[in-house]
Amino acid sequence: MNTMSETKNRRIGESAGTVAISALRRLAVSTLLLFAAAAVRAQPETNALMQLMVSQPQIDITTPVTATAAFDPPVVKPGEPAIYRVTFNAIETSVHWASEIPAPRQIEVQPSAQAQIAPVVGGAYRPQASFLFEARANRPGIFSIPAFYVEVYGKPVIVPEANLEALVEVPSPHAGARRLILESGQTNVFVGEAIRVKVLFRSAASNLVESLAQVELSGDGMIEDKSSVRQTVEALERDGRRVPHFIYETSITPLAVGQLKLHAQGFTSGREFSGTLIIHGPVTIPGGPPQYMLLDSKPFALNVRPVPEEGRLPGFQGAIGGYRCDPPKLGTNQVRLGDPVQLTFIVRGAGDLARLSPPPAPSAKSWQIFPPEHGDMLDAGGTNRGVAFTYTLIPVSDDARATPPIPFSCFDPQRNAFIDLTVPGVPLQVLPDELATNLEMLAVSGVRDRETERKPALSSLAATPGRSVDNLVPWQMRAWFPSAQLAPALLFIAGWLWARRRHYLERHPEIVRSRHARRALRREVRSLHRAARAGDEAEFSRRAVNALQIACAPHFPAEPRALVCGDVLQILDRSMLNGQAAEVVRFFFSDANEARFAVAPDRQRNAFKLRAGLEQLLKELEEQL
Amino acid sequence: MNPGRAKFFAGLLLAFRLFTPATEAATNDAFSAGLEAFNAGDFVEASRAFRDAATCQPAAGTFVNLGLVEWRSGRAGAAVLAWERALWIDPSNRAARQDLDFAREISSLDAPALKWHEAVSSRLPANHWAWIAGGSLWLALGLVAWPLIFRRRKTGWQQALAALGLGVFLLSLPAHVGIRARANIGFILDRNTSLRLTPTEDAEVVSTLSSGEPVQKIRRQGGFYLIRTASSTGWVEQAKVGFVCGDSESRPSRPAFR
Repeated sequence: MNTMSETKNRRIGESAGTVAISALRRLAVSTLLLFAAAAVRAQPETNALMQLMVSQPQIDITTPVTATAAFDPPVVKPGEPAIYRVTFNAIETSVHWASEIPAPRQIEVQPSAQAQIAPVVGGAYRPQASFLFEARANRPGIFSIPAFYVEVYGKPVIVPEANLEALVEVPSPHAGARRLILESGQTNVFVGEAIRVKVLFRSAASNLVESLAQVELSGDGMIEDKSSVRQTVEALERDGRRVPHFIYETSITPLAVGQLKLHAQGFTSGREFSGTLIIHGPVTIPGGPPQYMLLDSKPFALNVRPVPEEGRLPGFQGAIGGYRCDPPKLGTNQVRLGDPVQLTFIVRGAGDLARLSPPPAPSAKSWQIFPPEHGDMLDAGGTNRGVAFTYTLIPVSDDARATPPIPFSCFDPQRNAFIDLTVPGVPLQVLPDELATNLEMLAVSGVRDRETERKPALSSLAATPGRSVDNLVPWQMRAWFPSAQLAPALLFIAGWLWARRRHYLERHPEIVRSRHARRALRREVRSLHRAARAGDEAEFSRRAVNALQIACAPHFPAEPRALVCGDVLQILDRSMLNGQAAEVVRFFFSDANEARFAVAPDRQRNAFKLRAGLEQLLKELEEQL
Repeated sequence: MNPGRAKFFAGLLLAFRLFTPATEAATNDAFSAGLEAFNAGDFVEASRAFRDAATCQPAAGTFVNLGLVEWRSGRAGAAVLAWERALWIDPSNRAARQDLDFAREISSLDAPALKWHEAVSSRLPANHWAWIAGGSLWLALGLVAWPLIFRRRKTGWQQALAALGLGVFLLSLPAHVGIRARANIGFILDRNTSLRLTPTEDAEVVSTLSSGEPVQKIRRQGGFYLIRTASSTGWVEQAKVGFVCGDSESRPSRPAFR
């Protein structure tokens, strides 16, 4: 029993220990892992740019700067150019020429070229800056440019002395200055016309060809296409024998009109050829480290003319060269209304196709045309090289029967004329929208056929001027129009005032009677005066009676002819007009009655004597009206 | 009648008779000269004659002929403007409409996009709308005011007619708005006209406008117009654009009577 318990206890103890040990082991491993992870996280992140910079070789600017100076060739004829070459093992921009070169006056020195190259030597860039000057001795003799100081990296560096000997008869063979040759097949070009130029580097020794590095073309008013560089080694005829040349060929495009001067320069680089090189014939490539020497060329003159304005055809986008267009191709000859279709045409020629601008998309009523895409270059060699332009067209009307023509033209410098390269329209069928039913399509197509038969045309001349106006500006926009609207308003106001007056007079008829009486009285008075001037007493008396009746009638009111003498006298009594006035009234009434009714009128009575009194009376009666 | 008053009216009548025949005679002479020059193939002289006739008295037939001359002379913009002016005077002129359709078909030009009220206003000559609006308004006001002024009883037909007049007036108002808007419609006269960002000659070119393209005038500044086309807005030189009813700030003047 005890043994079993002891065994049991021992087993329990052993198992507990095992568990503890395994736990401790696991704990230790975890701790170690944690520490390792922390250590990894603590490492700084690497900077790719810094890594790139650090991985590059350093530029050696600590080596003491030395300069070399020499004439190439050292022996020349008087007037023959020689190259005075000064080279520093320093960065070009750090060289500061304090003053002019202390050349003797027998030597004319002109700056020609300068450049730097930095080959990697011993794991570091070793810059080498070269400065070329064209020197000419104006008479025979031995001339030297003495040593002089130049500041490099802020410190003076001595340029050693260089000697030039000018001899009338130079010993043969006399090679002359080692220079590049810059040539082109064309010297008279048009602005924008790309031409090929060649930089030729003649090999120094027989068949020993050296490469050129960092070839540069300099000159104002032109741009070089470095993507079209071609390097070849070829034997060319020079001085009666075939000499291998390293040829660097590129394209330039003149941008300015006039005479342009081009220069070429480059470093000899031995067997360090870069890029594709085509070698024609047997050549020898030198071994060993290259000797970098800056060479330059004589200036090359290019006469640039402007593209003529006359005869310029539609669609000219600046393309200069001998181009031709292949027939255009459509993606499909049947397209549904609203669906796109692609039109592609290829322009071929020997010009600068990579820089050829396609003609802009034309505007057409039945088409929506998107700007062209510049397609791939088709390098078929020679003048079969081409570039494809693709236009995307969408028909917006089912009246379209063909794609619209795309105006395009170029200027051919060979023919000195503009060439029409217009892309013709390509016939195609535009299907109507698929949502239309067959019947509708039939009906619409029938109408469309009739409509297409009636093509638009200009009308004939009008025989007469027809409907006319005094001015194109409509009345509503003229200054007087708002004012003219006041006229009807004024009419309405006038009518209203008139109606108002009339109603007033209707309510006050005595005013009307008085007005009429005054008017009639004045007429009678005028007749009275005429009768007096005529000496007609009877008429005078009659008019007097009429006047008195008219003047007194409104007071009753009554018809004037109905009034008798007593009625008039009654009015006089009212207005306190009696006495002589009454006598006047009675006289004229009796005189009038007598003249009218008497069998034998009495012609002794003189009515004119009472004229003044009558007129006074009539005046006072008028004032009472 | 008072002799003095009779002399006054006689003088007025004589002056009127002197005025009117002089204008008509000058217009007819210029029109006839234009027809002769066109038939003889002298488009320069024909253009000058029709322009003189149009200046004396703008007429639909004169502008149709002027448009034909300009089209034959290669000036599409001036031709479109002339035909639009013919339609402005006489919207029912079939010849002008036919010529415009032809020109726009050939030159791939768009017609001015008219809103509904502008389209309504184009159904009748502009001055007819003025008569309609003025006549209907004052008819309505008159029929309403007549019974009040003369203290008459309002009748049913008067009220109906007044309502009709007022309705016609209100319905004609959109047409007047349309006329004002259409008066600012113009057309580019020269091809490849530059639309500039600012009203200066050296301003950046926003786009190039075609001859005969319709534009909408917004305002004028110096020698430039701020115009709106279908796709852009910018400034264009005054001489490069012509408006259907002329520049309201410089109305065409009549020549001296001959």
